[in-house]
Amino acid sequence: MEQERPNIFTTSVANIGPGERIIVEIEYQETVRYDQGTFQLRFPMAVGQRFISGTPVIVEDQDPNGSGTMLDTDRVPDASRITPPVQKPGQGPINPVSLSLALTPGFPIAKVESLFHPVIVIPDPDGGYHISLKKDAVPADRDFQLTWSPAPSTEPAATILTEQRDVETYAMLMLVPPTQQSNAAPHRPRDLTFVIDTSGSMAGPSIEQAKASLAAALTRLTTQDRVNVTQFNNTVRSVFSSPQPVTTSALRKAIRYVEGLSADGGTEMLPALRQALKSPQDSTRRQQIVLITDGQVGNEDELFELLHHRLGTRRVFTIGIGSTPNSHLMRKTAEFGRGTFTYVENVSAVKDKLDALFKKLERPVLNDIQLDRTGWTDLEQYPSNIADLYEGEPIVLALKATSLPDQTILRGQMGTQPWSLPLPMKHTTNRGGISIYWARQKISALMDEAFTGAAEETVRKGVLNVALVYHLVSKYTSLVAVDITAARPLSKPATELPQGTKSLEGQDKTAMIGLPKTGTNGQLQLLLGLLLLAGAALLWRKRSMLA
Amino acid sequence: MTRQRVRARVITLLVVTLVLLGLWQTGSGTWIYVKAKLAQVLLQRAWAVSLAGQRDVKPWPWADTWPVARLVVPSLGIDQIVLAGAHGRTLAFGPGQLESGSSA
Repeated sequence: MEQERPNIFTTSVANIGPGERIIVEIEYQETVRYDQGTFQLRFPMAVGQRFISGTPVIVEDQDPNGSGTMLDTDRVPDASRITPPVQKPGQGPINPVSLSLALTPGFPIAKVESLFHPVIVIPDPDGGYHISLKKDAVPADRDFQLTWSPAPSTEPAATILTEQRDVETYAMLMLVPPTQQSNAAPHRPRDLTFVIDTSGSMAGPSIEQAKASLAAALTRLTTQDRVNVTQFNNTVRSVFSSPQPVTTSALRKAIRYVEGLSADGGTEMLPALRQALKSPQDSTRRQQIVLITDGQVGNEDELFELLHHRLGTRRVFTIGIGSTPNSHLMRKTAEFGRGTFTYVENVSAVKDKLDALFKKLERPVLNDIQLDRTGWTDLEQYPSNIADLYEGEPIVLALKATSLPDQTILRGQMGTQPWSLPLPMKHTTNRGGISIYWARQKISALMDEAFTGAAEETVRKGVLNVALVYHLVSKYTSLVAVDITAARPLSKPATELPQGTKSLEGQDKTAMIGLPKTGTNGQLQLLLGLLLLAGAALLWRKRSMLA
Repeated sequence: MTRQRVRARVITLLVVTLVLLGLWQTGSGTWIYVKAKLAQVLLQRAWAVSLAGQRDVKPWPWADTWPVARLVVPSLGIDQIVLAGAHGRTLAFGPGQLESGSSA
């Protein structure tokens, strides 16, 4: 099995003898997407046609890399590996796919839906679902997409799945926020610091929309809160030296400051964040730093180190705007900052996304979440610091221990009141794959240690240990399968039979084109300026005639 | 006589405002072209330094891009320095290299 592209794989099966039947079993793991209250599973079933650029390169006495329809080119040297023959429409079924799913959502759900294929859904007594296609087989011409959403609730709910492997037990704990939040719990006062990128690239709709939603967010603050606005391009500027209590005059000053923001200059994020992290810590308040940028920032290590040392009880939320933000950096910054990362791809959607985020930040469902460690022996938990629970975002923990308690307790703070949730663990059934999930989380935690001062060699050893035990691909390991049985007489030649794909239903062409653009209103300004001057000259002549 | 003087004063005021507005607009319009010309000089200089073996030379201290190539098409009269990253801010000064493109 080889990966051609992140989403195209080739499975090579050595030799298929005449009349033989081959079964290929592939196991993979994927984190299900959660967005706007629904979970989404996408099972890819077709390889779309791709545009192959460049000039074909043919080496006479050498076979092409693959058996695809396109020749290898200078730009895409493996073109023949990623272009399976496409069948003409109306040529009967090809690659028929039958599909059945066992869904264990772990919480009561409102509805299960398949977007493109009619399905039959049969609920299980233990809260799971069996899902199969209505037809025996369907042509592989579109992806299978399943969505499900949690049933309406007013309390956070948790669920735990376990896997027994050798002497250890692995568990995956998911904490799901309520769909509707009760307003009973009292507010905790907030210190809100906005750090906004005003470098030249933010010019245009990005900054305008960010300003509008910032102004809206400012008016939602209460008198107990404190606020500050920092902007950075090649310099760092703040409206206040530290977050100020919200009074009419302070708020007016902040709003005026936000309205006056304009985008110009470079992107120096580090000093801005350092400035924001300078204000004194206060664990009785909710100190939130919101970082808005579209920037490509290179000094990741310094940034992570700063957060690691200076974060304390604060939370950092990152918002990436446009087609090219450094998503990895922003996601990691939010992770180190124990906040969330929001990505706004479409510039016209900035205001909507920010408004939703700011509303969410006003009130985390739970904070200071802890897992009670009594009863667990040799517990290893990832992530070790649990993030706060916000509306619309579940929290997932990966756990490993040698023995488990019958019941465990999750504790946290709901507003200013303590909260706890007992979680029975006796009757959990054994699931596969959880140990792998745990190992992946451990590897990612180990890789993060490199940013917080661990030596490269220690990290490498740690990752190698985990990756080798759990057979995982990592920065330091890869998988090789060796087959030693010869199935074909060496004297006979082998033939290759390419397998076609169906052309895709409604392939979206516009999604392929998303290039950045630029422009200036310099010409317009020149024209306008000259017109104004000409007007002035005319008026002056009229005045001289009057005199 | 007084009415005429008032009218004259109003017109003077108008003329002054128009002149100021006009100067402001032409000024900021010209400023863009000045920046563009100056940037080309700085870019050429940064490219020369890059050729001498230094990597990622910032053309001006607060720039968040650097030259990666020089693009010359003599028949079309094109001679441009290609910058790292294709964002609004780099495209303002010259062609940019998309991060998703090949890095060869």
